[in-house]
Formats: sequence, structure tokens, C-alpha cells
Amino acid sequence: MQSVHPHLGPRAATPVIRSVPAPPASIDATLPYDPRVEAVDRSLPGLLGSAALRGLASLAGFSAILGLAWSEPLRSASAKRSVRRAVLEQLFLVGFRPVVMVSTVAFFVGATVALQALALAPATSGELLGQVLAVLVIRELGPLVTAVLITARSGTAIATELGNMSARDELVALESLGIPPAKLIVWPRAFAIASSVVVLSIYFAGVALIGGASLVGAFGSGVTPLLEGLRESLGARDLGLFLFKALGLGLAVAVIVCHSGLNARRSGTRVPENTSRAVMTSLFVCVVLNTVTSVLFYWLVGWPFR
Amino acid sequence: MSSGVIELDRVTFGYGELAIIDRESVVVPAGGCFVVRGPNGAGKSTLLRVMAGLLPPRDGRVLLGGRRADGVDPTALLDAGVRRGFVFEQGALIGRLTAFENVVLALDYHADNLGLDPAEVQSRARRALSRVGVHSPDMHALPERLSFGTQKRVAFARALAIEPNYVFLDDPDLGLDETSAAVVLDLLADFESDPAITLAVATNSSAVMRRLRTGAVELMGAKLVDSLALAPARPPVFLA
Repeated sequence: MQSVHPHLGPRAATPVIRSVPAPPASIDATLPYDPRVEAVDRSLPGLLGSAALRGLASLAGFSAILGLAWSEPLRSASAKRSVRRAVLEQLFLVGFRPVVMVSTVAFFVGATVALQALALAPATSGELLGQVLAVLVIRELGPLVTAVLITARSGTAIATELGNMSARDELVALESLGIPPAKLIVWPRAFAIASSVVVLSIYFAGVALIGGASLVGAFGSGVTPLLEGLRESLGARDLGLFLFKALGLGLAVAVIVCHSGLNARRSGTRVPENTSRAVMTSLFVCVVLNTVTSVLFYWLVGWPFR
Repeated sequence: MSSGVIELDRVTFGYGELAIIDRESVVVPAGGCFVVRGPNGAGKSTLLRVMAGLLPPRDGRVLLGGRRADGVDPTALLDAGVRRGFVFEQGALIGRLTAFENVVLALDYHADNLGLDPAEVQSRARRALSRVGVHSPDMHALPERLSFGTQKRVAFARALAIEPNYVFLDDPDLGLDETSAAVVLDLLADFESDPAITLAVATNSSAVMRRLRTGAVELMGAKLVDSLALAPARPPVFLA
């Protein structure tokens, strides 16, 4: 059945509405507070099913964010320019602004590692101290602590920003203007986090080694044997592990933080909750991923303690 | 042939178990005007977003100018000549950009497609802001520093700047004082009289309906119904 709306004004152009049934006897629409919107099955299978679906949705969200790297490139030069500008802005905020904080933390982490090594074996040689620093800072602490610092500083900011943008309809407003938020908003932030973790991890390792060398120089056996120990214990495999970890942790933080922010959807009350979840999930994933990567590394190259 | 037409083809949409639109079909001809009203929470804003292709329906198709609008790359839609100007109920300005930057953003991004050089981008943004009565210093303030009415006018300017052929207005005069409301109502009349613009409005405001001089359909229980048919005795206060 087709009917033309009979109460139009003077315009000739007339909306046509088809399949109009009789109105229901009672109307009970109360968006956005209607409990039917988020109806939850409280039975055990229902809760397990919901959790599984949420997990799958998160994985799909992570994949979608990772997939932005391979998405169709922008065609127009003006769009490319806008995205490039957004990327540079985010690189400045995520990768450059925390340099002082990363330097300070790295210096003291390096010094602490050297201090504890000296305290454990005061007569230890400078070369052995160099090896300890190399193993702990390059193989373990560099990427992990950097990822934790970026999560705490920029991850929270980005998860909150994306959450607020989502809750205030800013992302959908961009879409209405023909601007894909994934490319102008999400991609620059995800790229900035992942690349900043890699670059700042390298920087962290350098400053931490300087911190350790400074302490050894002040209280230990001199810097030259320490540098010798560093040089001897660092191989291409260590650097490969270091870069692999830094990239892996950077990508993990980027997708978790961006996904959590976007997941606030249109609910402002979800923003703090999602930000907190983003930070905790990022930290958990970083620690686990770091350990798993180390175990896999030794499994591949041979266990050093056998 | 179908340029300027908004078409909903047996569209179903809902949140969780709550149905908002249930197998509804609507055709708004090019240059036409569609006004939807309804009780609070009925889903008018949601319907408008579905019509604009901003929310993919669970079932059915949404076509703008004969082109599938839901779930497609928004840039591709604009490249195909579908320029949507959507004014959200709360404005939805980008919080970290000034009013001027908000208007410039889309112009800058699509400068090549729209054939604008940097100077034209700036001048078009200024013209759009001037048309809604936003001048310096408001023009260079962040949205949080602006009154709600000014934010809403900036949102109109942002939509106007891309010279849209589809305009979607969600409660356009909600929460506005007399001055801002007058600006918005004049713009509505301009949109309505422009044959190049297909207009869709969600509102319960009698001032808006009076200015549009167009009857409204009512969204109730996930169905679009003739608003007068619901209560024939009610005087048509929204008609001119």
C-alpha cells in the first residue's frame, strides 16, 4: 500500500511514505534510557555468551584499527595534507612532548639497575655490569617501561579524547561532512603511539645506559670496562628482539587505547570507565607480551641457563 | 535522475531489543522537505541519522541521490556529489578546534574536490559564519567558550559552508534564545525555498513547522504515521 502524506505545505516536492500501518495502542519509547537498549541475559550461558561476543567485538575493533595501515589510500591531495598535518601534530604530542619525562625515568632506571647490580656483587667487574645493563635495559625494560609511560601519559589522553568525541557526536559529525574519522582522527593517533613507543624505546635505552654508566662511574669500577661489557653482550639478535618488542608493544597500546576510546559510543558516562579499562588492559597486555616475547626469543635462540 | 532524492527502502533499525524504525519506506523527492515529529525518545534523531546514512540500518537500504549511503566511505559519497549538511541537536562541534577551524575543517579536507584554493577556503568559512551572525571574537573561540546558541549557529555555518544538497536538522531551534532562533528560522526558510536542497528535519517545535509550512509525519512505536490521523480533533497548530 502506498500513501502520500496529505498535510504538506506549498512545496510541490512531496515525501512519500509507504507501508504505514495503524499506530500501536500504547507507546512506550524512552530513548536513551530504555532498558531494552541494553537488555542483558543474566543466566550463566547468557553472560558467557555476552562476554564472548564482547571479546569478538574487541578483536574485530583491534583488527579494524590495525587494518587502517592497509586501507585504501586517500586520493585527493587536500585530504592527504589534512591527514599529514594531523599525524605531525600527534607525533609532536605523543612522541616529542614526553621526552623530558622519558629521559628522567630512563636515567634513574639505568642508575637503579646498576646500583642493585653493584649492591648484589660489590666486587663485580665493569664488564659484567655492562652485560647486566644490556640484558635488563635492552632486552626487557626499554620497550616495556616506554610503553607503560606512553600508556600513562598519552594513552589516557587519547582514550579520553576519542571517548568524548564519540559521546559528543563529533566523530559522526565529521562523517556527515564526508571526512572519515578513522583516517583523520584514529589513524594519526594510533600511528603516533606505535611509532613513538619504538623511537622513545631506543631513546630510553640510550639514556638508561648513560644513567647506569654514570652510577658505575661514580661508585664502581669505571666506565670503560662497562662499555666493553655492553659491546660484547649486545648482538644483532638483541637489537632485533628490542625492536620487535617495541613495535609489538607500541601496536598493542595503540589499538587498545583507540578501541577503548571509540567504544564509549554516545555515552559520556562510559568515558572514564573505558579510559581506566584501556590503561589497565594496555599495562596487562604489555607485561604479558613482553614476557611471552622473551620466552619465545630464548626458545628460538637457545636457553642461556641450560 | 534520482539526484537529490532521499530514499529509505524497508528500513529497520533498533538499539538492542528496542525497535526504532520497523520496515519503513520513505521517498523524499529532490528539493523536497520531510519533517518528522514524535514524543521524546521515539527515535526522531536516530531516524534522521539513518536517513543521512550515518547509522547503518539492520535491514533495508538508504539511498541518497540513488546511491547507497549507509556503511560507505563518506569521502566517496561526497565525491559522488552527495554533500550532507547535518546540524546535530547539541551542535557536535569539534571541541579542540575554534569556531572558525570547525567550519574550515571540511572545506580544507575537500578543497581539491570542491575546487577551492586556500584563500577561498578561508573566505567561504568567513561568509558562512557571517551568514549565521558569528563574528570575531566568537569566531576564534573554542566551542566551550561559546554560548549554546552560538555553538548551534556555528554548527549551521559548518553545514552551510560545504554548500550541501542534503540538509538534515535535528531539533534546529532547541534551546535557542530569540535572536539565535530568528537566525535559524530564517535559514530554514532559505533551505526550504532552495530547490537544490532536500531537507529533512526532526522537531517538535511549532515555530519550526510554522516557518517550514510543511506538514509533519509522526514517529511512534517504530512506525511513521500521519500525525493528524492520530488525533483528528487536534488543531493543526504547526501549519501556516
